[in-house]
Amino acid sequence: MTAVRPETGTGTVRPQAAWGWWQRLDATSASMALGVAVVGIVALVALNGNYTGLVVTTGVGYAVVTVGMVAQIGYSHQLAFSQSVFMGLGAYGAALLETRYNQGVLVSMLAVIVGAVVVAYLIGAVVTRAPGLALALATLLLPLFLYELVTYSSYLGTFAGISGVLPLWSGETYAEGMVRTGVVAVIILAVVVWLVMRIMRSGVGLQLMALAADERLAEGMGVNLRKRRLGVFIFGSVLAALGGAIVASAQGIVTPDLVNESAEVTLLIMVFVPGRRNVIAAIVGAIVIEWLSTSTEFISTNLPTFEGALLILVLLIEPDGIVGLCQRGWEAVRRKRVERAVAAKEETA
Amino acid sequence: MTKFLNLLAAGLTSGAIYAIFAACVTLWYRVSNLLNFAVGDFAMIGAIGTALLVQDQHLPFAVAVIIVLVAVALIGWLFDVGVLHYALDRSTRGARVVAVFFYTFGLSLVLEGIARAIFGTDVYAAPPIWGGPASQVLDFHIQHAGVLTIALAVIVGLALWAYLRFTVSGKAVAACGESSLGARIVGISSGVLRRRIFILTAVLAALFGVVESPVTGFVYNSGPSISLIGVVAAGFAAYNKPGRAVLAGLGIGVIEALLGGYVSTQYNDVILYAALFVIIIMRPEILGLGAESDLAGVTV
Amino acid sequence: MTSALEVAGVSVSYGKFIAVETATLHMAPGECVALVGPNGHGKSSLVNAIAGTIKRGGQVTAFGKQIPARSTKAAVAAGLVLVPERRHLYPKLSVRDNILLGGFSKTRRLRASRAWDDVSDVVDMFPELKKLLRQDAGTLSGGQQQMVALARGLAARPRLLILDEPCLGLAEAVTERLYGWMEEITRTDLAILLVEENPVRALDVCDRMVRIYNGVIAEGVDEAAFPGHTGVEVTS
Repeated sequence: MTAVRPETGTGTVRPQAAWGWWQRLDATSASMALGVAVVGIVALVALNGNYTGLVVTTGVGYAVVTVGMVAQIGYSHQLAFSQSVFMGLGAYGAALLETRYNQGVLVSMLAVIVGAVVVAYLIGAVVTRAPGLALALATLLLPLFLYELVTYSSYLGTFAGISGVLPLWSGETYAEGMVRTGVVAVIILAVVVWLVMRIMRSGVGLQLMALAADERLAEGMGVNLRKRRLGVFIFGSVLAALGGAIVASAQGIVTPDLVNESAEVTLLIMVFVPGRRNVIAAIVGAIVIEWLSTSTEFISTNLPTFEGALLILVLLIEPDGIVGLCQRGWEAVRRKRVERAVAAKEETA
Repeated sequence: MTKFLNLLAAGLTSGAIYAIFAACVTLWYRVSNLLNFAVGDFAMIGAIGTALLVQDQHLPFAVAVIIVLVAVALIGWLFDVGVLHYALDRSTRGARVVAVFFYTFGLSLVLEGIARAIFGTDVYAAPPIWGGPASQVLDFHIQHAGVLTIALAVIVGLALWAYLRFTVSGKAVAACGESSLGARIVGISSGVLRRRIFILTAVLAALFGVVESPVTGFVYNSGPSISLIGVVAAGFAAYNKPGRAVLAGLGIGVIEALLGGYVSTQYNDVILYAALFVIIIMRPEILGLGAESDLAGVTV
Repeated sequence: MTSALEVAGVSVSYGKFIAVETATLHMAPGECVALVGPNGHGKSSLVNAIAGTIKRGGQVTAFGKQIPARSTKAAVAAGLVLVPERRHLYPKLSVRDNILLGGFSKTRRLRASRAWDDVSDVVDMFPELKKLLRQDAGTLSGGQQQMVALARGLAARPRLLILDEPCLGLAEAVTERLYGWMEEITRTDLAILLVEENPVRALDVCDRMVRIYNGVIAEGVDEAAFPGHTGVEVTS
């Protein structure tokens, strides 16, 4: 993108050089990411590795997934229900590499990312060819598939899962390791936030939104349908895998519960209820719901019921979630103010 | 050969519930353009509710079944009046296709949560309608309950097919799904029809749960996986033809049983899900979706 | 003699946007009235409001019966039938099924075939449809679809038929055909309210013309605009 600055006096226009690196950084995205990082790190250090700190770190792992879902489902309207499956892949992948093959954290994380890209490409290449409902239905089958596989496979630990997953950054005590892991997780989340926001505010993001609005029209305007669909799918899936690996690392263990049939729904709630097109809302949603699911006995056993009711309510009242409700509220207030100002003017006229 | 026939019988029996769900989903889809992912949970309520009423409360079987079916009808009615009517009938937000399944997804979760609170996590089986030891026909065993379920599935499939094809009311139901404005201008109350069909599908599913549960026990979260198979089976009939949906459901049941018998008892479902996934992805046309279909671009 | 249609102070708005501010209109039985006006000035909104498909304010009385707002059922029962813009047929149902469903409100039949027998006479006016009865409505051409929509409307045994831009998007020859059909209809005692963008054409079949402008119908006479046509109300 070139900025245009008119030459004063002569009336000619000379285009400026292409944006420098600090412009490409995109101030809004960068500052948001920075904000997330600062808030997260401060919170985790304050919690100092206690149980809440563990919950928050797990929540941050989920947040990496939900931020990806904001891009995938919220903005691009790609109704794929495969995030919990990729979380499972990331979590089990990291666990296997670290326990059975004795790899370090860095290697296993990188391997998880690379592996997720490969798997997402393979699955995505076929899956994104299918029209909307087929994609949705097919990806609904995936969690069932993975859950059965994982519970029956002794290699994957059946119901007990795999324990011994390494923290992202170990410390001398458990608490210190917990804090450090959390800090690393927050930094990863901040980078992801920056990435997602940057993309959505770029030309690619515009293409994705055009596709979401009307595929045929977008294609007619030159948007490469297949490439974008596949790209979005891979992006969301890789983030999900990364999030899964973070969760496994925070918990130290991965069990089949991560990929049971309500795992996907939980993710959907984390995204839809707070606001499916808002990155911060998705982060808050992930952490809050993760916290709720481990709080009191009553809430955690009945969480699916609340989730179901919440899902219905959100869809009925405001598909853009709580954020959407707030926006509607502000719109109404602003409109009232304008109306009052206009009425007042008319009276004095 | 005996093994094959036994597997076939078992497959048809468990396939019968997929079949009936598929038929219900198809009929419901034709009237509402929505998918019902809560059919399995209605079946679960039917099965467990009856089991509890008979075994714990010692009510006679028929009475228990009636109570349960009425309860399910009530739940269906409440859901339509409270949620679907509000979402669909007073729409001025245009005819946006709001995620065709999210509403029943939510319903499914709520039903499971309540079921878990009331029923706990045990496995239940309602007492069989036609009891006694399994009959032996030509060397293979088939449970009486199994015969009943298969017969019921076929009968219901035929009845729904005939309803849609030959009756005025059935045509009106199809019209609702094709064009809601078009239905209204000829005086069809699509809201009323839709409500009736939803209640009907819920009650049928519950009835089926009662009939099938002696063969396969139900637990509070049995619903979602069988619902999904039912929806997929209905998909193979393009969400249009209940007869074909019944066949698809039975077929999937048989394949599941055969996989279990000949390939692996533990991983038969894994393979089944993988196979269904591949079929849907490779041949989405089976789901009746061309590029022109209004489901091709499902939006939220 | 009860009037066929009395529309008093009807208003239609979509959120903040007012499509029809106020409309007052009356029709006698058997009359053919054309509702004209530029696009976007409320023609479709008004007739949809009258037929009960959208919310409205004001009163609508058809053949002496008051029709509650947003009740197509009551409208159809009173004999007020709408053939909507863009037809809204049932694309995956056969032509036969589309037409027989027109009679849904009046039929007590269980079997579709019996209900069809009751209304099959409407196809006499459209002989080209006789060969197409088993075909899916969605596969027909625009002109054929419009004929099916008209037949469906007639199957409801209307006393007042509202036609919303029936020739929209159709070829000239088909439009001629449809206007020929309309001329035949006007000789019966069926009242017709025709929404038409092109006023000159509409005058060929209609007794009277009513103009809506900016969502308002005000009755008045301006013969100078359309010399030679008697009894034409053109309002500004």
